[in-house]
Amino acid sequence: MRLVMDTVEEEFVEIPIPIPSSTSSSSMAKRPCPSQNPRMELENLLYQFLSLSDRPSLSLDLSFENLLQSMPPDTDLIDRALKMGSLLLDAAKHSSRKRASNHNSIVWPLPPDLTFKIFSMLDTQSLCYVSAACSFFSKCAKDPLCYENLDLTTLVPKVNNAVVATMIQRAGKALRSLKLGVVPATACSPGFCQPMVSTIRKAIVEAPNFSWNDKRSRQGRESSVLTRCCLSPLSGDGGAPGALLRKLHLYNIERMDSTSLCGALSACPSLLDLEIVGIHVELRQTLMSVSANCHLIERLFFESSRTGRDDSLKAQTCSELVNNCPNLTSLSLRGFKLHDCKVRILVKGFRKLKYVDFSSSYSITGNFLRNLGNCNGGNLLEVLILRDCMHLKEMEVIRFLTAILAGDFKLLMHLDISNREGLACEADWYHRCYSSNSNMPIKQVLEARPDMRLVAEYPSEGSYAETFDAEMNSDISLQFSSPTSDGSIFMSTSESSYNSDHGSGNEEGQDAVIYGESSDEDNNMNL
Amino acid sequence: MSKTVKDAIETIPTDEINSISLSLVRSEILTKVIEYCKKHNSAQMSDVDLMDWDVEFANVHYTTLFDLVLSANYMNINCLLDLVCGKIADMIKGKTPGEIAKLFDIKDVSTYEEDN
Repeated sequence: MRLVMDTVEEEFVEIPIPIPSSTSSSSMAKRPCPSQNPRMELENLLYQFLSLSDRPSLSLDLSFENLLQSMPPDTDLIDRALKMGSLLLDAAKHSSRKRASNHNSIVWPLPPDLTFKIFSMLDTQSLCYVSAACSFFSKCAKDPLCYENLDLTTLVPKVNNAVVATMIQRAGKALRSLKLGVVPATACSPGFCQPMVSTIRKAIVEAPNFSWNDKRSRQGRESSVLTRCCLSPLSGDGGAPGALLRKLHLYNIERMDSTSLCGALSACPSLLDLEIVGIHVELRQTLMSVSANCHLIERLFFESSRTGRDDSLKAQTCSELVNNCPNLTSLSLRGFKLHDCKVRILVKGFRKLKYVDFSSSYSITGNFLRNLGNCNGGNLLEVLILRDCMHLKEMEVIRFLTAILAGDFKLLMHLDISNREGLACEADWYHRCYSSNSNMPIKQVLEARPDMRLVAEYPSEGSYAETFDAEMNSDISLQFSSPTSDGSIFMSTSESSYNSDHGSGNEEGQDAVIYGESSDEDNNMNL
Repeated sequence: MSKTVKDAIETIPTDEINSISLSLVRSEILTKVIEYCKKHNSAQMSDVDLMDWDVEFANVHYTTLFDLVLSANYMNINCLLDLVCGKIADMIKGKTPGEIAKLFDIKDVSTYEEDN
């Protein structure tokens, strides 16, 4: 608490001061004060003392020492000097603060509520900086309104659990959106470009002063690392912060696992927008948690941290998701192993689905696109992105484009079927189709549908051999049998030798799916 | 557009109105506010052009921006208030604490504080 600076109330202390006989002509002569008003006398004395600072050759210490020596030895002059010195210092600081505050209130004339309004428009980092500028700002910056939208993403790991906890606590029930994790500058907005995870990994390795090696050796140092419990403040305080949270975006939080993520989701029943990139969680468990807790969800964006290796998705998970989350309009599942039958459940089942992105998916051949245009879930599609799906077959794409030409998918505005390795050929996915050999009716579609944006970038023949990904070859094998006579395809997948720890490898491995040309297979699916 | 003015008009019978007192608003600022309201009420410009016009409009010294904020708040014109607050927020973004203090000529009181 501030000291009360009312020194005027104190007694006027008499200190014998020997006046030198030869008075030098001082410009600060004593002012006559005949009324002997104690207050004025003190102020005069103070004024005279402070005027001493004008003297060019002031040697206060020497004078004080001389004074001491002229006094009896038991004098308490030193204590007095200490006390008075301290009182004067405090008085000066107090007045200085007062003037600075007054000055600030003139240069910043806005009352607290308008200041909150401005601060609530600031991003989280600017908010921290502005609160360090002065104490008034610091107080204003603690208002929950400023913490409605928390963006704690950084280029390299800098934010730790304590920071997250403080911010969430300050937001309280005003919290609406939380972004957390490591996102390098090179990662562009999710939507129409390359998978973020590979870009991010690469960027982290190249970021200055940081490398994977450093990180591993720093395991013991917790100071700038987010641990698996970083989202537990959402459940704290009776679940108030998480209760009204609308948007949750998480990027590359190394230590987060399925359990902690599902725990966080269970605290967010109002979630509308969930984005998860590069987190080591299983797709099935995450989707089950969403099904169970986030019934209002409208946008789901998942990008796998282990491209092509997460095969956990089951048909039942898809059905539950479709049943429990009817409001979903945007679905992106990138880098997972997805089977056509399951994808079909999703795309047909969500009645409001407009935006679909299955880029970098393994296993899907495009079979799920058949007969989609004339049913509930398919013909509302506005955006469909199937970029770099290794097993996407040219034949299925041709079939889809033909359906568009026939008038289906009237609302489709954006279609991306590019593939840096070319699309898969009919008989053997190992063989690729190149733009030069293509039979795809791309030009016709562009003419028939000028409102639609069609992106179909393929390599020209010959560049395939260099870009083939060895990782892809060893992990996944896919076998096709020859087409049956009525034009339907019999497809089986077999798991490779890699470790599939979901326990679903064997039972799913022999899925046999048969699609007829015009049959309605809906009776098999739980809609 | 101004809720304050609207309320004033609605509470006073029409034939008695000669003037509405806006005691807290200086004349130069009122001129700007009127300019803003006129522009936004006339449906002549497209949305994009209007946004560009807004940017130009808000491109003034921050002391004027403060006056506009206080006036828009007093006159209860929400869109103008949001525009000007946003402009001030933009001026703060991306600056270090020292730069912010320098920009607005704010003295750091905390160096003299004994406690927080």
